[in-house]
Amino acid sequence: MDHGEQPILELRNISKRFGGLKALEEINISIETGTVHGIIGPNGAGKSTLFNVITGLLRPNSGEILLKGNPLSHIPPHRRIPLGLARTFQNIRLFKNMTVEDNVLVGQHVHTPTLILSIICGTRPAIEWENKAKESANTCLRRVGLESMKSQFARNLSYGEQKLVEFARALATEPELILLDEPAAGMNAEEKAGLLKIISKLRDDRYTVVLIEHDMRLVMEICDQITVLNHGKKIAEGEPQIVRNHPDVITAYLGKGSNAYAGTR
Amino acid sequence: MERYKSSIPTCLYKLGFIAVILCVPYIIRNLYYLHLINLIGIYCLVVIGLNILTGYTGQISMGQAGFFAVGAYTSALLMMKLGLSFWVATLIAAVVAAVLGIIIAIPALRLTGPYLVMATVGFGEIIRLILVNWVPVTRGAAGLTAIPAPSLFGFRIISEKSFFYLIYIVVALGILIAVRISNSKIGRTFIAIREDELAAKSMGVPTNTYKVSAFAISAIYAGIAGSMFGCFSGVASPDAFTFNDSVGFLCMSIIGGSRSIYGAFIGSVTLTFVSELLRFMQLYRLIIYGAILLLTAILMPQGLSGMGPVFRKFSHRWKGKRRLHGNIQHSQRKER
Ligand SMILES: Nc1ncnc2c1ncn2[C@@H]1O[C@H](COP(=O)(O)OP(=O)(O)OP(=O)(O)O)[C@@H](O)[C@H]1O
Ligand SMILES: [Mg+2]
Repeated sequence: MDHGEQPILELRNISKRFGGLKALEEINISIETGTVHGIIGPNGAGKSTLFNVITGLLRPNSGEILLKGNPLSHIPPHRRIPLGLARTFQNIRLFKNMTVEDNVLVGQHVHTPTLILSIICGTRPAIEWENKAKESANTCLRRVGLESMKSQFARNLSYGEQKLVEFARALATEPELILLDEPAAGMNAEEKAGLLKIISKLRDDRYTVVLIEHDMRLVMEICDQITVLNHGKKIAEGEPQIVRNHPDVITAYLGKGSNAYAGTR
Repeated sequence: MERYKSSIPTCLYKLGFIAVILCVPYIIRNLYYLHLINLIGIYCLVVIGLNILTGYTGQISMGQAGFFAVGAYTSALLMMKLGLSFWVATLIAAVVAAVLGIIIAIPALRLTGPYLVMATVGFGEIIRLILVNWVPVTRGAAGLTAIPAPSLFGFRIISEKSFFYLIYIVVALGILIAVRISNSKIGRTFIAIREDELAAKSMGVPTNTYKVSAFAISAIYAGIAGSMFGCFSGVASPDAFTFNDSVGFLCMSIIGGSRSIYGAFIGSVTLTFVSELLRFMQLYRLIIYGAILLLTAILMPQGLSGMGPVFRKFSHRWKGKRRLHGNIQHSQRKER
């Protein structure tokens, strides 16, 4: 058990370059268990790159990532999932020609053994594991309110619904830390309100959520802590109130010389 | 894929189906047709494997004739040189093919699309060249002759009729196992890799292991089919395992519907009969294949096995019923 001291995720001096472009520069972030942590910043700030580095899809040029105190650098992406790390993508990456339920079942992958012989012989154990996996998948779908859609093909759902399926698929990996890349993008007001509820429910259940989001109202409402990135650098960090009034943040969002209120964007 | 709960009528239906199949050699007395039917069974096995590799996992192979050849030669040589029984030889042939599948799959992991196709074409050619040039073992272009017939409890499987039962029992088993795999967690993972490999990886799927396994599975199916093919024809020579044959297998897979296991059977039936009908145009085989592929891609992207829902839809229209609601699942109309 942690005692609220060790952060669940710690980034130390993470840098990532794409050729001459410095997408991330010396980023230090520490995320506490059971919180909702917002990552904001203008387009191209390096937010998604940060997620790709954390999940291992991209290798940082330098720096260290610690998940519950364990370094991740030499763990390939798919091995990070059993450690409790899950994500969604900014551009929906669902398995489009699979049903919603099957999509979420893929999230269960690391929690069900692959009993080849039992599958070939059609015997009990494989069937029972499959049923168990389906039960968990349905629990995840219920959490995002899509249980009734489970036999639809993913490609037939609306954009907002597809975002939620991705969310459920991430939950199915039974994570402790969930990285959400712009979950509210393309959602209508009603769907956003639903999303807000789902995320606060997750916090109540001691999940840790890292949230990249452009919708300031949503970010300000839900996040415990916010990190602001601009041009690959961390320019501000802290509670929503502090961040929204930070002069550098206002400049980053609205340009120099502006005294407008960043929070109302 | 709809799944019906087994009830008594469907049980009877299945039994009836099996009974009809068992009677086929007695209904079709023409040995030429029976020969074709047996060939279809053998091709069907290769195509089942190919469907798992291509239709499910999304890795296109134009080198299946290579695995097919390895199965035929390995088992024939084991029977002729070491006097092993057909059954043991087939088992070893399957293992050898699987190992070969793994060996070529590993470098192929980095390749996708046309590059992967080229690599598999290369593999098929390498195998063919080995068969032609390794004369002391393979007897070169002349090939192996007088491959012994399989025997079971002293009964020699040599007539078309007895081969029919051997081949179709293996086909039935092959279909059963493939259907179980495709409906299981493994099949789901294969499809996930085809749909979005990066997303699958991000869900914890060891995508490389699965991609290599798909190659191994397809090689096992082709290897077993090859072993039966050798005994069935009694001869095995390099010109039975060419690039044309690999393209033929891919054609069968696509015509029947590569995303369905039963599609493998539909595809092998269709293409075998079409090829026989167009025998007089043998020289233009690849052109015909090309035309068929093009038409399939345009008219029925899911192959013949994907046409069910489309037919159903039309029959509903004719009955004056209202349009089937929303998801006509396999018909792949251009929907967003
Ligand atoms: N794989 C890549 N190769 C080269 N450049 C990249 C790559 N991925 C991202 N970049 C560049 O890195 C910078 C940061 O991109 P990133 O996607 O992290 O931005 P972001 O903060 O997520 O922006 P947005 O809000 O638009 O999603 C951008 O300039 C982008 O063009
Ligand atoms: Mg982004």
